[in-house]
Amino acid sequence: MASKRVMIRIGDIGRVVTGKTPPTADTENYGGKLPFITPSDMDGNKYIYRTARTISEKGAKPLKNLHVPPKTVFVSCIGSDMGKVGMTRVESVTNQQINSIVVKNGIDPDYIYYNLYSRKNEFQRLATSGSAQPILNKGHFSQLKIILPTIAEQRAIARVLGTLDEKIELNKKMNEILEAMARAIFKSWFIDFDPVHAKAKGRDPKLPKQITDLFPDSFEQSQLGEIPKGWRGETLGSILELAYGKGLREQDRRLGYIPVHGSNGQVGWHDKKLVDGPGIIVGRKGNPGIVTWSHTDFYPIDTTFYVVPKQKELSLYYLFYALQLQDLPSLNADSAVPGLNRHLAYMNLQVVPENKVVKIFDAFVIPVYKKIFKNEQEISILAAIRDTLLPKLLSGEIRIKDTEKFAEATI
Amino acid sequence: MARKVKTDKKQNSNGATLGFEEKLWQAADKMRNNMDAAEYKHVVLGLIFLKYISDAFEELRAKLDADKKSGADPEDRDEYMAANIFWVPKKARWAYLQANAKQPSIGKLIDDAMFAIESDNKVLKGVLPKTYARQELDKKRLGELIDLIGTIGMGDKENRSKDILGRVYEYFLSEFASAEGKKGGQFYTPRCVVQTLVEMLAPYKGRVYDPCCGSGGMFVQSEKFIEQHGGKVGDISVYGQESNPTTWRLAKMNLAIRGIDANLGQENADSFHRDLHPDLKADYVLANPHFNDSDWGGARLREDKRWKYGIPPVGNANFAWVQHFIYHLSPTGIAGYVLANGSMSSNTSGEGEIRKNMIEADLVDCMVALPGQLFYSTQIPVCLWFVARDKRNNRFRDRRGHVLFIDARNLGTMIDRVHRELTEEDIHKITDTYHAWRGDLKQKYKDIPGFCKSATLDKIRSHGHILTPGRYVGAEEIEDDGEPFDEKMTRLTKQLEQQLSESAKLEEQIRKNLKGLGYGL
Repeated sequence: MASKRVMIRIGDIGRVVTGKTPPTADTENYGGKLPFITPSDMDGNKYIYRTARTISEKGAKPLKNLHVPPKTVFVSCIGSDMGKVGMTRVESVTNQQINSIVVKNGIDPDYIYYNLYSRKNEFQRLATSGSAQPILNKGHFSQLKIILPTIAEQRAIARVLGTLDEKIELNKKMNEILEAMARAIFKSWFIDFDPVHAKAKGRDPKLPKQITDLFPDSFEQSQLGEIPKGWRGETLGSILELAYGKGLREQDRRLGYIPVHGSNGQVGWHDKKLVDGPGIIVGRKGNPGIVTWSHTDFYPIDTTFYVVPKQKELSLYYLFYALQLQDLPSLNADSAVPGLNRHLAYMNLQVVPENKVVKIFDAFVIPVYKKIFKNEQEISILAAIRDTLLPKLLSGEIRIKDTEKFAEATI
Repeated sequence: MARKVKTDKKQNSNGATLGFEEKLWQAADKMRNNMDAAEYKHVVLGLIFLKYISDAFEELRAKLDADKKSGADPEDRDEYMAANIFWVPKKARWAYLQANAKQPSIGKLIDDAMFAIESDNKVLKGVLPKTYARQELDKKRLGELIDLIGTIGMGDKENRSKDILGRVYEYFLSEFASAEGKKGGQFYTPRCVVQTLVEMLAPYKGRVYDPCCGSGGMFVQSEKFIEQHGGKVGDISVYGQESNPTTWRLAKMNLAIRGIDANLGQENADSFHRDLHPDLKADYVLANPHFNDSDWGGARLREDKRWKYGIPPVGNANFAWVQHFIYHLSPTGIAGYVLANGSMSSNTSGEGEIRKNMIEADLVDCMVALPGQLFYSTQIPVCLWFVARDKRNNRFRDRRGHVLFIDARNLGTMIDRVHRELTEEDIHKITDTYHAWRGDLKQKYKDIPGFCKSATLDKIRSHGHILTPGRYVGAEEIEDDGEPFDEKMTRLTKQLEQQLSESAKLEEQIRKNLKGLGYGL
């Protein structure tokens, strides 16, 4: 079933807009409702939910002609990390490193997004080198050609890929919610002592009775101030060890499934673990005091510590939230390179609840973390399916049966 | 190499900004040609100096001229000396130089003018730059520069009262520090840091000492402080020392144009090895020594009467400076100084021991952690130390056994991509806290979690004599999102519920789509 395909210039599928940065000297130009998109906001997701900066009404005014509507496709066209593609959710402004296409009616913007998304290498190749910054200017960008199947086929392709992206996004959002729940409970139980306060005042803690019973109903003095009776104040040094990670140069890493962790999260992969997962990584140099979680076995490099619990009954989950709230970055004491001195960290105090309360917390958090991990795994699979299908669908090698019906049914 | 100067700098928020310094700087910088900023600095600052003293001279001369009938003599040097104004000989007056600005001999004329001023004013002997005649200096550009500087502060009496030239001088000093990058920054402490130090100590009267005084910024700010608070500059006497000869001359000029009578010694010298004020006991020490200086010749100074709290390591001058300051404090004196953050916690090479001994001697009065990026020369975050010889000090409340910790790391505003500045408001937040704590302010002191804490020596012992404010002030009360736990969980649960059912729908959709491609799931 052959369908008509045409080849047209990007300049002909809609208005091409190059963004602009409002003067940064005037702080009043920023901090409004209008998202200000720069390449660093483009994190590989189709839609951008947060931008580092927003533009105020004052800053937006002189850029009137450069505002782009929702469903605009944009491409980063300057800099080493060029060729990233995204799509606006709401009216936005981009900076001058980005070219946007306001796709005209009769052409499916999602199709355009996927088409350009698949062409990152091509963009990078086309960029003028020679100057320090690779650049693909507006004129050159507008001249690039794009293959357009029939509108029905465009929609069908966009729909197949779009559902995969939607699910990826949903998983990410769900993980944020799950994470927020675990944090909220930790804070309520172990920082604000809500259930203890409620019991002390004779109020209902609004928890099942078997959980309520585990909390004390009064406070006592400790070196940490007032804490629930029977709980203890301990130094971090007595509940955990911060063990040194191990150097692993980039060229020595081999393709594998073990995440390599630096001081600010995962930095790559390797085929051998250093530490059994799950585990906690604490930044030592570079991003001192940043606390990250690994669901699996992992390899912490030498700019990090990893956590070795010293008391069996204190689970990693409890320690993870406790460490996050310890404000370790403030201990950064070294002068030249920011660094975390573990002996300083060991002196910090931590409230340690009775064993049975920690157990209840774990019973809630462990399945939550399992689900978070499942969602993350699902994301990798969905992304792999999307990236495999993408070139085949675009080239027409794989055809969607009954495109008309398909497109209609799924809209 | 000179770094490119940022021109889109925002107006200083806490500065005496005139509005035109920036333009003037740009214009002057344009004439720099291919000269090094470090070298060009002396050309420009020398001319501004000349203009300044000439303006001040002409002003008084005009007044004397008008009073001629009542017996005033405009050519009587003593009249000028009495008014603390430099006598400027004819050949060195600005009008004369300006008239000759376009002559090829202008370089020599300026050198002659400098010589003439020096020979008539002993305090300036050997201080002024006299290198304007040299070949490399483009005489056409020099003439243009003279014209440009000639436009500042001319005639306008109001301008003169606003100390226009003084401020331009200071602005140029700071811009040169920035243009020279690291090298220049060594002797330029940002004005907001100096101002904080000065307002903390509030030096109304007595002896003020800076043994590493750089271009004299501490003294200039002290004078400003006194004037702002209605005191007389004559109430303080100023002692300083500086090891770098060109910086020393800069300081002499800087103080001269403000009429500050300072004792900076007969020449430049190193405070460690040749203390020019060996018997000085100062009421205030204000200083910003070079951070973590590893080249201070400590190996030659293993034994010294100044090392009362421990021998400072050869590889780092921080605690040598600190003990030098304490040595020079009067029995009721207070010192305020800037050090790199490492000084608050380092335990290497005996530094921890020195710090411990100082704390146990109850010398430390207050510690302030400042935000990073305040300095031109370095990104490293720094802190302010305040050390009091006598914390019982009857001027304030008895604060023995207590140390005030202030964590100001969250204050300040970025003025360009790499530099931060403390605003007037930030500075007062810090200084008011200290004054309230010390008891010389009506306002009552209160601990603020995340910002300030009055800690006991016991507490400091329990932290291993580490003085990092972050350890004591505790966590800032986290601004709650205002959402009670119960409501939050209800909302999150509802969102999760929606996501789970949407997830099921999407899964179904994906299954169907893949089937449509011929792949059954």
